[in-house]
Amino acid sequence: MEKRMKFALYPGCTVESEQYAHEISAREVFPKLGIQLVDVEGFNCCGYPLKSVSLPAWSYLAARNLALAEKEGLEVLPLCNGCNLSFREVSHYLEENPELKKHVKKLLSNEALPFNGNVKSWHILQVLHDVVGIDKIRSVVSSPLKGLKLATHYGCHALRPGNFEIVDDSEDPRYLEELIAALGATVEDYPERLDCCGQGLAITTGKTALTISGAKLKAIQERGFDAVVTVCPFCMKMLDSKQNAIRVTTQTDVSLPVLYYTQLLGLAMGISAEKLGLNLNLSPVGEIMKKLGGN
Amino acid sequence: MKQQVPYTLLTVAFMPARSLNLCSTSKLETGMTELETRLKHITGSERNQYCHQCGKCSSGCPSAPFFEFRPRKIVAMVQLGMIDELLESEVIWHCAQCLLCKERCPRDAGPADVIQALQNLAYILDVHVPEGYPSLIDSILKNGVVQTPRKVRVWRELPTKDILRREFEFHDRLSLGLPQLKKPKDMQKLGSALQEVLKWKKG
Repeated sequence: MEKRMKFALYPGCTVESEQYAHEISAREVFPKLGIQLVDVEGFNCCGYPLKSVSLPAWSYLAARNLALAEKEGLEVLPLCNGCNLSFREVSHYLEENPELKKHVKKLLSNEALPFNGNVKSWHILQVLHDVVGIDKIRSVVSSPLKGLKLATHYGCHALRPGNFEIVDDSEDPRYLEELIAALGATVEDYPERLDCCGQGLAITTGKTALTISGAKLKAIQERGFDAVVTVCPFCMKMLDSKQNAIRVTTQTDVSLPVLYYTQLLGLAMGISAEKLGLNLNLSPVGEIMKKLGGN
Repeated sequence: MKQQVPYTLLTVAFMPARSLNLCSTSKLETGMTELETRLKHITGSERNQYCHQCGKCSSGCPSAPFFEFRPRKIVAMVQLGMIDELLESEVIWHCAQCLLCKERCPRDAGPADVIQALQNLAYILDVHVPEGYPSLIDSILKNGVVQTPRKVRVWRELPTKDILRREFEFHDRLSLGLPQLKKPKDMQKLGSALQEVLKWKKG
């Protein structure tokens, strides 16, 4: 695989406006892995939230971001599963809808933006696993995470749809497991591993979303895991940030540390919890540090 | 939210089409209804016709345990032309967008795509669109993004299971050492383009 070591960082609305821990930890670890993150001026919403109400509006918003990256001659690294899915799908969608593509290109040309539909969007797992590589990750570990038993939560849109530009096997993904094992922690499968976090329902029915998240967290907790590791800010919002709401609304007794993979990686690299934004997590991440013998 | 589809209607969707006389020649003679034509235009394919009601979609659906929401029923109702009923019922908004149905469909009928097309149609016709969506659009028209940076809680000590002991202070991007965002320079151009594309094929 051709080595690409420079990417346009696309944090996405949720990360850049409230899920700061993902951006803080990504900016901390990627340069140390030889990956340069470039800030591009003028990015807008990835369009994904509007997909339900207007596929044309989604495609314009997604294409505009890819056009900005294209202008800079860069490929995109989003910090969100939804943004990445948006960018992965939009070129295909517009290819299938040539009339709309023409319209979108015309709208973009008003801002002197080119859109040829060939800018690749890289999922964070692809960059870590395929570009950086497991060996490199293993080599930067200075404080192996011995004794931690961790559960993975990919987030639906990291894996599905798996019909094109697949990130990993949609029914049996292994990227995150391999990336965690490289840090010295134990990672085990569990039956609810690929279950949805419920976030997609939050806009219409918050309580159901909380019930779905609560059920997954409770299952993980009962299986004796020390923490959940994810790569998606929306899943993080449900699993990490809503534990109190889950307890109150659904009477489910959950209290489990949840963290981003980039935070976990940083800990294994010997970076301080504060520099990785761990004091922004709302779940009891201090328990991990106790287990690791720090803090 | 209004009441969901009356159960009787959903049951109808499961009866063999021929016994209901819905696949009769009369339908072939009249062709598609206006709603069916518009839906077909949004989906851009007739893949939903491939569905043979195996039920893999509904069995994996995270919403199914909570609502009268079954991707299989929705696809069946679309095949039977019951689009009015689906839009009126609001059941289409109970999709979690997890895409499991799309992934597991052995006939590539794409239940999630069918549901998304129904939602698009509901927006075009302005039928029961959840309140959250217009405000999302407003925010993007105004700022280019769904939400602008907020202040967040930063714990003095890492949180443990003893939640009562947590002390925090508020921080923003700047005080967290994150670079300032460089938002779109010409929001007017972005906004008018978005408004134009929202009207695409609306009429």
